[in-house]
Amino acid sequence: MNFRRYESALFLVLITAWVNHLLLPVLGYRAIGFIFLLLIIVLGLFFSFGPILTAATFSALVWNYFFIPPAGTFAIHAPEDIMMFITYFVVACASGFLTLKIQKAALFKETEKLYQTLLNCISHELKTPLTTIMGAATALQSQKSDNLLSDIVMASKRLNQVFENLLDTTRIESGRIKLNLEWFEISELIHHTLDRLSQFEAKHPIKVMAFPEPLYLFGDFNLLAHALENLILNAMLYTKPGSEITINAEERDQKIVISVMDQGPGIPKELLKNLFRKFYRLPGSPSGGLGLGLSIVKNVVELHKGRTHAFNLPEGGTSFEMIFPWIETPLRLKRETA
Amino acid sequence: MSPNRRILIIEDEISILTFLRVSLESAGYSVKGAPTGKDGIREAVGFRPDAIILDLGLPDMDGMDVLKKIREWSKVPVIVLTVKEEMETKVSLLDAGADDYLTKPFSLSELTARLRVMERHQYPKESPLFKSGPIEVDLASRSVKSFGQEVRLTSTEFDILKLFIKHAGKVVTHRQILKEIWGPNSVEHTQYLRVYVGHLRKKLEPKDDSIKLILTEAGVGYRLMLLD
Repeated sequence: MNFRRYESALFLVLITAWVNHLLLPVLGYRAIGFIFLLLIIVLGLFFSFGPILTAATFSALVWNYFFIPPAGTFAIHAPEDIMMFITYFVVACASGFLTLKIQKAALFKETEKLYQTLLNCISHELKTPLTTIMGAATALQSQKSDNLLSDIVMASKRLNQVFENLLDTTRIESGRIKLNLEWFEISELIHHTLDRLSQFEAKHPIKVMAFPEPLYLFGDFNLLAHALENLILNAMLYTKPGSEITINAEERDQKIVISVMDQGPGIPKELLKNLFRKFYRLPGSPSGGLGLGLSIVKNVVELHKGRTHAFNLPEGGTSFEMIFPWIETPLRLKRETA
Repeated sequence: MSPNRRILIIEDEISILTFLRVSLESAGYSVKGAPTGKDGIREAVGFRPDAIILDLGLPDMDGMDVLKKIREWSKVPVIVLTVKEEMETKVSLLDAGADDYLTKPFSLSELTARLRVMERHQYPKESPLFKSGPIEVDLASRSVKSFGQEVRLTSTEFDILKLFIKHAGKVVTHRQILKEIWGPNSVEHTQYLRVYVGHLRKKLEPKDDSIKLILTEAGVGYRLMLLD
């Protein structure tokens, strides 16, 4: 805490009181009140909340004691003086509060800007070398195809995915994500996600179950596509190549559920609850991840007021579900599909 | 590609510049590199490029300002290099006259595909017929075929498709679509745009997802692919 500020605030009140004492015969004690108020408002431009409130209280007492008759006492007799005094005190305090609010808003904006710059900087620094690696490798690939080159390209794509997850985690957790809400069909979401995943030479057959269409969702398409992508990538990473991954969507008990099911070995029951925790990786996990994928899924789903759920399937494998509250489809969409 | 097309690359990272130069030159382009925004603007005049590749993170100037300066007097196609985080920047760059963008990291084939699209739009063939992969569109008679089968589109869907064809191969932003189809004050449609485009895509693309015709550009818009 900065006591100098408090001292200066009190000092300024005393100086004003002295000036007011000279002006008293000309102005009268009521106008003097306005001069004190002026001081408080000017202080609001330079001081923080604490000193302003102190100065407001102190000046109110000084005004009361020295100027409001009977002078030399804290007593006030005239009802209009009591009214004036109370008004003075409220206005002075309010000006302190307003100052605090403005300062907070400015600080928030400042942090916001700094944060954005920092994030862009990190992202730029991470991606620039990756651009060279991937670009140069694909350029060489166009001249002669080589397994080593395609390994480099694949690895850069994987690394890019890790960077994206890292940056997204930071962004989501800082609470700085603004949802871009719109209506879309879930089949569109699945289509788009599989399209994005096609860059990773898939070693797992992916089956999309035929679900009753159209099934609409109201949410942030890109964030949800990213979440679904993470679920599928996760299934790819933790199950044997060749084993099938199934995607399903359905309306269940007034909820919209999107699930990704794998044919992996299943997950020990006591570990299931840890899956969506940040940086958690199952014992014996293959390298090449930070344990962020599922925590991003959880965060994104929770931003949509939904929840995540993982359980072992009776026929083997694990099912990961994103469960969203059901929202009435607008008439416009119903007409559109009629 | 016509021989000796001139490409100006405004990029401060030497390693990226090098790989772009080497690979584009071996593809038959003549390439000039500019490491700063100021150099870039100067070369945009002196080198008379057929297309410009502009990186956003330049040391001396904001990429946006470089673009605006160039756009003051030139219509030369500009492809911007960005990172994913700059979603809003991408949109505002496109609004400010950039022709397309590439997200880092990218593959060489993505870049050359963008350059070919730019070339195509520079010298457009005036024809009401459009063909890409399985679809054939006759804009004059408003007939649309996919795999030889007549496809029935609603008038909104057809208008969106027409807009996509006009910008074939290039990204079309959400705002562009809203403005062109429903007029500048079409806020109410924003939440439904994705549904309309989704329906259009479903009607045109094969069910088995083997051909991608309309790509979703995350946070920016859509791209109608030019397929053989």
